[in-house]
Amino acid sequence: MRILKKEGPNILVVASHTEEVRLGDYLMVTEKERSLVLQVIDENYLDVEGIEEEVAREEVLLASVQGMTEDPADVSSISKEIRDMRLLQCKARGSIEHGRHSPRIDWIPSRTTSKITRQNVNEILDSAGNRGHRKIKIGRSGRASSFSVTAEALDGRISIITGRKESGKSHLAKMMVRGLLEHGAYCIIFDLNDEYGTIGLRADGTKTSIADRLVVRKPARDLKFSLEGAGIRAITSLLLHSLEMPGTSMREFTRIWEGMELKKEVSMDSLGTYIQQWRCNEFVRDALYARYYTLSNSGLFTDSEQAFRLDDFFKSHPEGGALVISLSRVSPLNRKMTVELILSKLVELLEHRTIPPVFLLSEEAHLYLRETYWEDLITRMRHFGVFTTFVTNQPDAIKPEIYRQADNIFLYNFSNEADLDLVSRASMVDTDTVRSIVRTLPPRMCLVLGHAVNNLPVLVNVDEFDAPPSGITRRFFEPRAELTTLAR
Amino acid sequence: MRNMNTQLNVAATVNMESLDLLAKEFRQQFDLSSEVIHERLSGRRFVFNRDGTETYPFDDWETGDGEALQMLPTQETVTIASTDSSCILLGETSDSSVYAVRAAVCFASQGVVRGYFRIGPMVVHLSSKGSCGLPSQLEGYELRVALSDHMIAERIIRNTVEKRILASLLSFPQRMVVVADGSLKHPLDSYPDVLFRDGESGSALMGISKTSALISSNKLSGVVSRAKGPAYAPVEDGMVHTLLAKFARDGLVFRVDVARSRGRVPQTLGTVLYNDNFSAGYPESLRVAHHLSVFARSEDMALKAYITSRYGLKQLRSFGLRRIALGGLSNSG
Repeated sequence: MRILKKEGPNILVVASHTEEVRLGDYLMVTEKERSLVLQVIDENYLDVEGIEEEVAREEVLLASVQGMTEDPADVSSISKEIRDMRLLQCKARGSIEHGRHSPRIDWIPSRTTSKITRQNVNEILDSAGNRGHRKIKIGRSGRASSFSVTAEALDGRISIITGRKESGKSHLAKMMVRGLLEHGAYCIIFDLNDEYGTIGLRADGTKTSIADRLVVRKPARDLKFSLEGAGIRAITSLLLHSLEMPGTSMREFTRIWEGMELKKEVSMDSLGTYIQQWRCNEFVRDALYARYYTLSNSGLFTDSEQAFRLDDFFKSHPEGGALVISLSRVSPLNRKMTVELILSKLVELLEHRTIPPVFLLSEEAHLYLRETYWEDLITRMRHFGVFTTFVTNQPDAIKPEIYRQADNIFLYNFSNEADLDLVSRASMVDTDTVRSIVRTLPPRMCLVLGHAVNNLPVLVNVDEFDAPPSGITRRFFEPRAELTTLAR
Repeated sequence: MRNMNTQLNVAATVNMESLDLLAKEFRQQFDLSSEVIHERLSGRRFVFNRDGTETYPFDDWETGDGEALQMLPTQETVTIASTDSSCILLGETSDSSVYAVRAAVCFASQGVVRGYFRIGPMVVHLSSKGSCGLPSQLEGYELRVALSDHMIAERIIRNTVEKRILASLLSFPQRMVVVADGSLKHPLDSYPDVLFRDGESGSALMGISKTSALISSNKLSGVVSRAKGPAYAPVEDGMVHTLLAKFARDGLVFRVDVARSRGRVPQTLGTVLYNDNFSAGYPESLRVAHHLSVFARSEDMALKAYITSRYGLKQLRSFGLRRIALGGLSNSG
């Protein structure tokens, strides 16, 4: 391999077709004690003058006429090699001097004397700084080396996993959750497709070490809250944001709550009675009643002792655990109310330092997260200790501001120009890298950007997730169970 | 350029009277010859040259005396073996030059190209000590000329290789029509008489030339061009018959030299017409042989890489001599 040209951070390297270099690989251009770190972001054929004519001529002539060639010097094999020569389009990613990586790319190695070698990604990342020691193996980078992100790289960070449908986003998300649980972390997962309930099991059905740390709850079925357990703050937040209760009615509701609290009667039953007996404007009473019936009919609230308490979940799992909120087949309103309740309660508990920081995994968040929560999650809530990972196949569902503030991005394949455009403009590396690499990614391969990889983009072949299949799309053309009859 | 005035200010250093005499002589010569040129050129149909490339008139030249004869296909399956070769200069040392040569033979019969044989590239070394890498040694005048001009050297090398291939093809017991690219009588290409003498196999030898000067110089080309089908017009008889021929109705006219035809030139032409395929009147086998022999840019690079590594050459950086010597104003000649 030889350097051909340099234009700013773009470096063209000529390589033989036998050279084992692929997209995303790291190269080191070594000259004396220092090395320039390059990443291959695209590859083309070396443009030899008149090559089109040559290829066309050969194709037409040699394909249609059989013949014999006597080439005593075997020049044709050298000529074929020249025609197969590759032009590797690389980006300079910094320098390594005395074993330490620095972002400096303000020097040019010699074209003639420098030596170019392929470099192990892990070695380059290690030279760029300590990424932490709590490893979560997610796959392989390059040909053989295993690749891990560290739990520390996700700790206190906002992450985004995005790519087109069936590219392998959920596999990675599940792998990261399992890894975090193995390191004793707490996770809350908003699970839209019933995919995360089985992450405690292996593909053969046996339990993993984290199987007992997993709690799956379905809103209105085994996830019911008591008004007292939820608290005034979470309930008012729900009424305000999910049920759009006007300010005047909210004022009256707060008074009612204080009244109930004074008499230690905070319950759904009491709330109905209090609204009926409360002395207030009839319109306000109607508004309060409407919300009360919505809460009551949602099935999310109970006065029973069995009501779910978020703080109890943390107490009952001292070694860490994951709360999977199954949002599949849950009405949109109940989804929104559940998420609102959980998040506001979470922040309240974190503010009071009652619980440790939490990793939040949110799939297709735009379906249940209110607009203002996005910014709240990546700014205010992060400081309290909610470290969110957004998973989506619609990159435009996440605002560019959020991409820009994300600490880690796991990019899977996008072939749609508009998606590519958005992702390349919003992500934390140059658009050339994102556009050329992401466009060609096969399923289960992703480009990792950000803190998790010391800001050196890494292409990772994500491992198969060892768990029973879940969240499978129901299909028409496959053996199926009998349809259930709807009761009239 | 700043020095040009000084350089041209010759009056101070040279006897101007002698130069005046010389100028006068040229002027007189011009006056005399312009009359003759006028007489010969006046009103003639004319094709202007474009950057030295071979061109061909869309319209016909003036019609000369003579008649085009109809060319009829000879319905007999005979292999047409067309040969062509290419030669490129790879580089030079202080006292020698290195060339690469490649030749191809393409076989056609019953109107279809059947196969090919390609040999090379072969490395040829020319120096005052002699030639290396050719089927026969270059000597004497041929070697001196080849050493003095690369274009001529390339032509001589091609001719040497082609001669060997033609001789080999003609020695085959199987009857063929062996076709060479170019005239068999070109002053720069020397073919031995033995190639032109009838052989046992009955194979004929044909040279097809695209060189416009050879075609245009004959007024019969207009006659042949206007013929309604494949036609030819004899130009010169001898050991090698020269004619102008058109192998397709709308084809171009080429100069064709035929040898070893045993006095049956029309039949030889008919054999080629029947067994080869023609595009724009040019034999397909000859066209394929040309494309098989030419060097692509990657092959040029490969050859240079090969000789560098094989002979441990030390590459010197180089520059275009003419541009440096003549300055930036020179753009031709």
